[in-house]
Amino acid sequence: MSIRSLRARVTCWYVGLLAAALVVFGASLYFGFKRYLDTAMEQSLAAEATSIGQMFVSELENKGPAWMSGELSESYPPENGEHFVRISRMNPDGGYEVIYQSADARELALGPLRFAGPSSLRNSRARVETGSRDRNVVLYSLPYTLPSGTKYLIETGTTRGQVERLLSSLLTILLTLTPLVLLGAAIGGYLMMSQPLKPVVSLTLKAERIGIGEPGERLPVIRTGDELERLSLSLNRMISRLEDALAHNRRFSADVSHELRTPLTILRGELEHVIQLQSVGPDVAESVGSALEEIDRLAQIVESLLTISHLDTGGAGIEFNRFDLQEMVKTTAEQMKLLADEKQITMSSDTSELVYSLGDESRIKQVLVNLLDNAIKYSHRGGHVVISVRSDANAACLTVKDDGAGIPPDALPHVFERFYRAEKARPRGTAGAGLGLSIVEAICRAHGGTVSVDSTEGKGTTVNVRLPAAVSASPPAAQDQQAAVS
Amino acid sequence: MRILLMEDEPKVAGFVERGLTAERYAVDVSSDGQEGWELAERYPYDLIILDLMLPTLEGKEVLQRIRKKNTTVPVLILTARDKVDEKVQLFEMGADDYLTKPFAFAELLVRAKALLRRGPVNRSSTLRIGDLELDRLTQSVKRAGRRIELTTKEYQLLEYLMQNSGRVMSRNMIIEHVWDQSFDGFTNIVDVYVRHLRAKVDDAHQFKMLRTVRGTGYMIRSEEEA
Repeated sequence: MSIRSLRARVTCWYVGLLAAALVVFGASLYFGFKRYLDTAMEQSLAAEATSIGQMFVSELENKGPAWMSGELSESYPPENGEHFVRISRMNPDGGYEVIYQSADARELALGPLRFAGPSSLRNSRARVETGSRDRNVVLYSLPYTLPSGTKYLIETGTTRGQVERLLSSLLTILLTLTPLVLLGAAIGGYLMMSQPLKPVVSLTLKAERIGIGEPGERLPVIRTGDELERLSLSLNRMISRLEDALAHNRRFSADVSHELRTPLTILRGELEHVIQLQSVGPDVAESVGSALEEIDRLAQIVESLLTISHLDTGGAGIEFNRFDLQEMVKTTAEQMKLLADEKQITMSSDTSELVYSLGDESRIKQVLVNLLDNAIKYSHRGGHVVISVRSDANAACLTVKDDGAGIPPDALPHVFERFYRAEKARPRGTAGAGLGLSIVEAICRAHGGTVSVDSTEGKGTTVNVRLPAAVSASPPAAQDQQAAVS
Repeated sequence: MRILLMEDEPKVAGFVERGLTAERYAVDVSSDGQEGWELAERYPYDLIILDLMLPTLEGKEVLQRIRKKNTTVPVLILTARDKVDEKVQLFEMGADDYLTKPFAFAELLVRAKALLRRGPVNRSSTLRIGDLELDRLTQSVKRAGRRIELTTKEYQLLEYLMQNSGRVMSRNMIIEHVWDQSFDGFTNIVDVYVRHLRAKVDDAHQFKMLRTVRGTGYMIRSEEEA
């Protein structure tokens, strides 16, 4: 399905919305989790500082710094990871003296650690400092005053490594899962969309098949109670209106034919009567004869128009039978040979290929007769008309080629239009009303075939007819005719 | 021979009646379905010519009633409609022949005669008109004892005209009998063939047997008939 299909567009839309929702969700999760971890770390650092104060610093003056260092090193062994404890005592001059520092603190190479300013001595707080190798270290300072009045500052710290590792793995999970979820949603959604769209697809297929030839055909009504049901109902009502219009048109054709045929019958009957009268002189007979000829022509036009209208509306009752196109060409060419001979036109047919077509043989013959008649009419004395028959992909092709007057380029697109005749191409004294090719076209169309014309003015015209082919039952016979019929 | 003509269009009825009377048939005309049906019921007609569009009782209904009552009388249908399936339906209902308007009277006459078994049923092996002779067995043609070589189509054309000698045959009738329906239309094939035939049959002789009736068609006749 193309990107412009409804299905693709709906899928794009909701995948986009889902993506936005997932980004918001992922961001909230990430930053919320980060905040939670930071708080938890701070709290644990604070708890640690408090317990160091109560357990060790409070005993410092009784048991001495050596004892405290030992105890602290035991409690926070160096292999404890990126952990850090430092205890400083405030000198009376306001400076600090570090009295204990865990091995990790050195290892962390915190360098000249800033001491928390005087304010730290009043309120505990956490701060972030940058250690060696750009590692961020979170430090928590807790002021601790012994009953003796000596002030101490207990600092606990840890690197943010663990937090960062947690966060980065969370980020990895989010970044991998989000596209996967989106991809799954897109595929699933696209497939799921086929379900509600199925009626639309079947509606489309059915609508394609409904021809104007079969009245009473309707689209399936989708009983879903939604917009699709309304659409199918509206389409069906539209088809009904079209059918009504068509039926009206057809009735009109039938009425016109009846209304024209009866007066034509009377005209002809009366004139035929006149011409038979003994008292009629040659002049009158000539005039009446001429009038009769025009009646014939009028009748022919009425017939042709009716034929076209029947073919167009599928009312011609075309019967599809398998027939030998090659044989038909041979007999027709034979039947029309004399017309060609009259103008010393060489008519030859290339029927070396055995071609079976599917259709109404007498109608197809009418096509060939019309085409040959035209080819002979518009050919110069001594010209050539070539008929060829061959089969290609699923089609039986019939080609009539002449080297006559040709058709001017500006007339070429109109040759199949009713009553159209290229003025320049009209030879003197030809009967007809420019309906021959319209009939040819209508017959081809009614067979599901096509007709096309190719012409160079002054060089000649080639008409190609493509008809449904019938599967050949017999193997291609090795018939060699490049039979000159002339 | 008595013919019933059921046709509601007075002018059509008029010239058909005139023509048939001239051929010495007795013709009754009815312009109303019901009335026509009553006539058909009462008299043993030899032929009924029936228009399909009739007041009070439709042509099809009349045909059905006739066939229910009397199955032998030939019925020739006249109609302005020419759908293929309608034709088939009419034949199934028992019509014997079918003529679409506008028709040439000559054609109506030929068909009527064929139905009355009097017309072109000359199936003897030799047709002879004046000094022209056509042998169906050997397919050979002679005029004044001299053999004339004809192509197949020329032979068929001549045979058809000779079968109906003395009557004008329209181009449509000739095309239908000698060629086929596919040639119906704008082609002048009949004229070309008649010209060729005329050259072979008439050129060497004083009396021209093939005659063109302008606007109507062609006929062949003997010197005595002329």
